[in-house]
Formats: sequence, C-alpha cells, structure tokens
Amino acid sequence: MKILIEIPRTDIKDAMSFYDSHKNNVEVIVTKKFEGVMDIISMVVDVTTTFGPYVIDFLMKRKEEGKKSTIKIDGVEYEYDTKEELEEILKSVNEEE
Amino acid sequence: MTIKDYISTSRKLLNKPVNKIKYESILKDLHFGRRIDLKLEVTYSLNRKTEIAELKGEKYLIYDQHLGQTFYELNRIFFGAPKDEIGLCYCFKLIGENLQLRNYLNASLFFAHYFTNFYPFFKEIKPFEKEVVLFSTLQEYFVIAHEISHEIMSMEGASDLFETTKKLLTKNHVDIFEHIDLTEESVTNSYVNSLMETMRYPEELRERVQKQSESMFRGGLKDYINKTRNLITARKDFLEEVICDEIATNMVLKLNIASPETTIRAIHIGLFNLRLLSIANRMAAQIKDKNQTIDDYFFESNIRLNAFRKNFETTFRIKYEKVDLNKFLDLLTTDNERYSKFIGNPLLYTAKTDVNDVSEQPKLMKRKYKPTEIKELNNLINKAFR
Repeated sequence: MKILIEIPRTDIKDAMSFYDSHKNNVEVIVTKKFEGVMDIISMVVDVTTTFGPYVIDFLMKRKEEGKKSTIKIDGVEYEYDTKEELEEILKSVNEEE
Repeated sequence: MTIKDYISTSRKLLNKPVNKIKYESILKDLHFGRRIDLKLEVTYSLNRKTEIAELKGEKYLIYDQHLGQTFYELNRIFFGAPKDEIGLCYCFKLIGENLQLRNYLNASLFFAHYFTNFYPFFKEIKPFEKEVVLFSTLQEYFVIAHEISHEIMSMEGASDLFETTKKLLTKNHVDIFEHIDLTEESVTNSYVNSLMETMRYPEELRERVQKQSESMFRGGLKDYINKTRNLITARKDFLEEVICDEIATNMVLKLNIASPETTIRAIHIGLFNLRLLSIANRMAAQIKDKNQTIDDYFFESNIRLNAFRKNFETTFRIKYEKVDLNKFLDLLTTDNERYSKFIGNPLLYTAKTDVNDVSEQPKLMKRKYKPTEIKELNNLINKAFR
C-alpha cells in the first residue's frame, strides 16, 4: 500500500534524509503546492510489512517534536494522535486492499 | 514509483472517463512554438486540483477534469439560476466533499442531506448551454495556461516582471488611499447591506447588525493598508500568481477563441469560480487549522482580481485600441454582483454559518472510524452527491 506524506517545505531536510535512507520505499515529489499559506513537500511512501515500522517511527518522531505532517491515503487525510492509532489506520487500509 | 502513485495517493479518484486528447490539444495550442517540457496527466478526482509536479527530473502537468466539470456546473448556475438556493445547494456539495476528503464523514453526510433537500431546485435552472460551454472552455484554457506560466517563469526567471508588478500593485492598492474617499463607514455599510440581503435578516435587525459590524471594522482601514503593503513586499508567491494570471490571460486572448470581451468575461468568472473552490476547501481545513483564515485569503484574492482587471484594461487600450471601456466594465460589475448574490454570498455567509455550527458538535466532528463504518458512510455520501 502506498500513502502520501505532506510536510512543510521548511522541513525539506527531514524529507531528503528519509528518502536517502530508504530510496526503495520513498519518493519525493516537488510541487508548487500551497496548503493555505504553507508551502509543502510531498513524499509517496510504500508501506510494506517490513517498511511500515520505519514510516510509523518517522511520523511519530515528527509529532513528538511538534512538527506538522499530514498523511493521505487515496486522497483522504487521516488523523492520528498516538502510535496505536496510526498503526490501526495503516492496518485497516492494508486489510481493505 | 511513478507519477500515477503520486496521483492515486494525493487524490480521491472518481471512476469517470477522462478525455486526454482534448487536453493534449489545449496544451499544444498554448505552447505557441515555445519549448515547454511538460508531460500531461489527466485525472478525474474529488480534489479538483491542477498542478505541476516534478518526479525523478521529469515535470508533469496534472490536469483534473473534474475542475472543468465543476466550472461547467458553476457557470450553469451563474447564467441560469433563478434563485440563490441553487448556489447554496452547490456550496453544500463543495463543503461536504471537502469534509469527506478530511474524513469528517458524519459532517459530510450532514451536508449531503442538505444537498439532497435542495437538489430539486436545480430543475429550475434556465438553459444557456452555448454560453456555459464557451465560458467553461475558456476557463479550462486559462487554468492550463496559468500552470504553464509558472513553468515559463521557472525557466526564464522574470525578475523584471516581479518589480513591475510590485510597482503596479503599490500604486493601485496602497498609494490609491491618498486619493479616494473610502472610509471605515462606507466599508461597514456595504458589508451590512450585503449581510442583510444574503441572510434575509428582517429590517428590524439592521441596527444591531450595523453596531456589531462597526466594532468589527474599527481601525480596519489602516490595518488593511499595512496588510496590503506587506503582501506586496514580502510574498513572492503571491506576486507570481498575479504575474501568471496576466501571462495566462494574454495567452488565451492570443488564441482568438472568442472576442476579447467574452474571453475576459469568462476568465473573470473563472477567477470567481477558483476562489469559491478555494474558500470551500479552506472552510473544511479551518476546522482543524485556525491559521487558514478565509478573511486573509479573501483579501489576497480581491487584490489579485483587481490586478487582473488593471492588466486587461491596459491590454485592451494598447493592443486592441479600445478607448471607451466603461460599458464593458459595467458588464463585469454586473457579473460580479450576480455571482456574489447567487453563488459567492451563499457560501460566505449562509454555508459558513452552518460550517461553524457543525464544527461545534463533537459527534459531527468525529474523524476516527472503524473500516466498516468508513465504507458505509462513504457509500451514503457518494450516493447523495454523485
């Protein structure tokens, strides 16, 4: 299953470092896209069984640091507060596939 | 990974056929012999979003055909709606779909229910098929030309254009206040009149609405001028939008699809359509992210529209040698009034009040559901809206 992660363009270093470490599962897309006043950068991430935990770590670490990230699955934005909720979202979408 | 992966993860795709040949032809028309390396992807999604995306060194123009379809529907309402309930109904659909994209499924269903109740009014729309099709086509050309303009600017730099645009905007939106009699009182009165008419408040409420609005606008004019100055000097992205509107307008005019007046009228309404879509999107986004204020966006958008107006006036006078533009400018003002009455104000006032009410109800603001609930709710919403 593939998901989209959107983060502010000011955090581009985070995106590039995630991409550099996992080139097989992560792709960075550059768009001229503003969400409101925020310029964002997008990443398509292939959430396989083995790579899923890395994605969860990446997103939860950003949350702990108070950094904004949005996840989209099939164009729909999902909300999560805890690691368990994030796991649940990824699991349920995987099951549906 | 391919561009298709980006498209399918970033958008909620709708199962509708796309007409790629049509948009390839539009793209080709707009090249004017210039080398622009953009690969076209046509999609049909609930997001109605057209953008340029770069992946592995390749640039793609992603055109959303649903945007063109939405232009068609909004133009139908603009030309033929006999009452504003129809525009309001369509705004409920836009808000409901934006809520669906953020997984506010109960809230989306709430607006879907409103939409279904009002939908029978759509039968009352008078047919203006020829005008609606022509305007929608010109608006699609404009949107694609606007994206190409961003690409041209990234290739050619255009620092001169930024300076000229900055000067033009400062002259028309900051310096102008030294020469006109716009006062807080006149701004407040115009707001009150609009609110009274759209909300259909009884006349006896006018005094109360007036008092509340006066307190809202106090000191507003000075703030407005400062905000404008800041927008013009500090927001390069905003200046680029203004410049791309101008380049795109000239590109579409050059194609002679319709008379210059009709082309400008269509683009003018098209800019209203785009603003409406953006506001509906922001209304849903604002529930969670209070930074996405609609007032700020509306303010920016007004300046962008005024710049568009100033730019085409110059083109008309110089290139088309049209001396007296008064009659045409009056027509645009009438268009503006009709659009506000039948589409814009229902969204900004009536639908906005409903969004505020809904956002205060925790049951409707739920975003976490079990997979079976997601499926069932989405089925119900889709049935109502599409």
